[in-house]
Amino acid sequence: MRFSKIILAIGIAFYGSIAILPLLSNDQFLLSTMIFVLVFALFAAAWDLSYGVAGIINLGPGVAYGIGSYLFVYFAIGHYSPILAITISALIASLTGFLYWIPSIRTSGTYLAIVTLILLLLAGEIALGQTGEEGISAGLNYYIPSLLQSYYASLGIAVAASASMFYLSYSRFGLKLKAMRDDEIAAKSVGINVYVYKLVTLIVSSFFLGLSGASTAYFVEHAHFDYGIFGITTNFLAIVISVIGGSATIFGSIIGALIVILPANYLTSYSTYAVIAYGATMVIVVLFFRSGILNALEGILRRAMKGKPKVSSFVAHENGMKGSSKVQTSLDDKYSEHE
Amino acid sequence: MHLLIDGVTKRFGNLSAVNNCSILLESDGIYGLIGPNGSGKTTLFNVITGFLSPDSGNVLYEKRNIARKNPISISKLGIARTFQLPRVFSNLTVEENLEASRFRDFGGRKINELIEVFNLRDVKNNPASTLSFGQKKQLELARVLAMNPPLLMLDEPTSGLEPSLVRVIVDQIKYARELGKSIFIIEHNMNVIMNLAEKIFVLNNGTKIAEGLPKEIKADEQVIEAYLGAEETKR
Amino acid sequence: MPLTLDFLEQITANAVLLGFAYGMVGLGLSLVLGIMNVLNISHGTMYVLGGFLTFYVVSQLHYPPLVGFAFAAGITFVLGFVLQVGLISRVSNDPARVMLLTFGVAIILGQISLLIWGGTAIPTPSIVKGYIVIGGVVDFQTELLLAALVGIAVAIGTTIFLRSTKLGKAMRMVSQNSEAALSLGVNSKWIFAVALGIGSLYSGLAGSLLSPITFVYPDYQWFPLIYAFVVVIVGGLGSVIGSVVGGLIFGILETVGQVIFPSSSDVLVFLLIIVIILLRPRGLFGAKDRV
Repeated sequence: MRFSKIILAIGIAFYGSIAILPLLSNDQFLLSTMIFVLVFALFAAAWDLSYGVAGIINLGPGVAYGIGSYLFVYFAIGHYSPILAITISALIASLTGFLYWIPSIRTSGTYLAIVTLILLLLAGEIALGQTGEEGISAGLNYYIPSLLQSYYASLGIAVAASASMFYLSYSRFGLKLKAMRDDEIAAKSVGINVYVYKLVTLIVSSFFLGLSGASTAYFVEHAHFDYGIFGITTNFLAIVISVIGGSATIFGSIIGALIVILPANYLTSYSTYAVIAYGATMVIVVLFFRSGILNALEGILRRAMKGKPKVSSFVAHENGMKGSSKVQTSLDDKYSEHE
Repeated sequence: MHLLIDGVTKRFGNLSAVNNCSILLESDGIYGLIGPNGSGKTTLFNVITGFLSPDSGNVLYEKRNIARKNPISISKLGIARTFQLPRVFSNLTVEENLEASRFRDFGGRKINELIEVFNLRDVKNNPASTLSFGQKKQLELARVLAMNPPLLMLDEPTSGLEPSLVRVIVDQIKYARELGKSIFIIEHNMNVIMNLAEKIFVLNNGTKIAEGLPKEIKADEQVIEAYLGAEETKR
Repeated sequence: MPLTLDFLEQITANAVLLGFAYGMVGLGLSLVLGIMNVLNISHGTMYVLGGFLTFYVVSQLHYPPLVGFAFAAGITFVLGFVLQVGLISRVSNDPARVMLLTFGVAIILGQISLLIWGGTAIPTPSIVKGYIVIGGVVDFQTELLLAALVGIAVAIGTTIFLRSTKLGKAMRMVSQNSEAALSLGVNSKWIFAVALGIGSLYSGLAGSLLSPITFVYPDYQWFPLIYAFVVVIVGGLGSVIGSVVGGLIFGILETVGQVIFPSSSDVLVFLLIIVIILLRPRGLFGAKDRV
């Protein structure tokens, strides 16, 4: 299956640089910030799989993420080994995919977006009732990793997870996801079982969302965003980072995470400005770099390499992710009885 | 190939788009479905292919009742369709469009053959959204063949195309027939359908008003009146 | 709490008033969603801004309350108008991009509010303090009464506007078929701008009137959006009556929810909307082809 070598190369370049960073700098704050970046790159990459690749709208990735965090602390307090705790938390979090799958087969677009957001708020209200305003403490009283261990562990997890999702998105399965994203009705007409595919995608995506949540609980020393479970700001970071970094690229999330998390972490007393900055970046990206930075980069490099203007399939994002317009929507009604 | 549409009725509110319609395609071949605009042809196609379920009646494909199945199952059973306004996977390349659609029994190398036959070689690596209208129609045809189905259902395959391209598509449909496929075509272009079809069914206001050989249909008074009547109401 | 008749009358009264007020927020969203077919995620942000702006004018600048309401309404209208003309019109071919765009705007506006007014819920001024007692039994908080009256007035005004004015008719034309409208000389870009302005205004006005009761803080902005959506889903898209009925149902559920689950009062409302979307997405009064 042909995949974009440019995107893979850029991804390797970024992660590779992050890998050698500790050799160049001893700055503890920088390194701990990078852990934050890595974990949230994973968070966003997981969301990118379900939205960028498969076209499933989900405004509440924070639910799976929060479940991953919460469960990790729960298992850690129960003295499970960290690896086991992270893995089990992620596995259980993947069940959230099933929860999000149910509305996705009944509605789409705007209505689905709102339902997913409601699920997040609902989870938040339920959790608030259970655990109170402070959220849960990530303080653990057994094996605490050193900074470098956390650094390379989160790097390893992020890279392995991204590579898996990247591979998946370019497999035959991934191709069908993209077809489903581009035109669900045509996809059905060629025998793609959109219901099953959406379920699998959401479960896999939720697994990695939960993995990022569990990783946050274990590796990130302090959070600068509201850390109540299912915090709204944290939730939307996945979306912002993915959109800025690049839709359907998986590896774009590391670029997005660097842009969003680095400044915010450094400007703690000016973190509000940082948030305004990434909000503005998102607006600019949506307006001018329709598919995010990595896709724009890929398009530029591809054209430069070929030496003549050639349209690549990723630059196609310029024409809109779902390729749909009002005309198509009204036609969809004729075919919508089996929704 | 055996397709029986048995007393199918489909209503939208008070309007019967398809009214107690019965059509039998009893062997391999090319069949035509014609009728004035709004006579229910596409609705009937939607019922057959599972995008709509009939209010009454059955659809039997190879003696199996598919009336209330969904489009996914029906395409896997061997019926592939195109759409009135071509639907393509916009962000995928032409080749990827075919790759995503091909069924397991249609080898990957054969994709290249399809690309040649349907004149898509030059745009093989271009995203489908950049194709012209005519190219999209050809891509849809290639796509249904990649599914390697016994029955193709084509919804106005030549509409909106210039005459030279219409001739090309007619040849491509004949090519599909030579591969052993059966084809059920909705058409407005009388030259095309009289040329291609071995048997033609005529709908008007949701009911079948005639069926038979092309020359019989051409001479059928009811058919002529239906089309003329449609002309009247246009004024 | 004792389920006395008095108590029931009281919560019913509160629910109805709350419903009329929130109906306004829902109507704003319904207009935008119905006419422009896009989801403005910053709809809830306008509510919060309305509250903050009124606070600013009344409590910090010491102008009379009416000026505060007018100011909030005016600013939110302008924001909505500019948002459409400057940003949304560039990406209106893709609803997903509009969502992402307005989401970015919501973040920006929310953070600016955070900068200016801080993150804790601000005590927005009680405009008309006190209670009005009717029938010797039911107390009406005057803010709530005022908000409900404004909500009713807005609903009536909107109906008249859409039916009888040139602009209103143009909006209905555009919502049905913007290409056909264009061929008649109706430029949808500006119609949309007014529609988004009005939608934001309704939300902002509701915010400025209700904020003494519901309190505002930047992160709260997602709730009015959800509430508006509940109103639209229950009552149906594109229907003023629907928004009123939807608002009433919302008001009842929210009030009942507060009684049963004091700490998570929205649970009932959320569950309802999920159930409705799964079973009957087009709502009670919605047009069939809107889903």
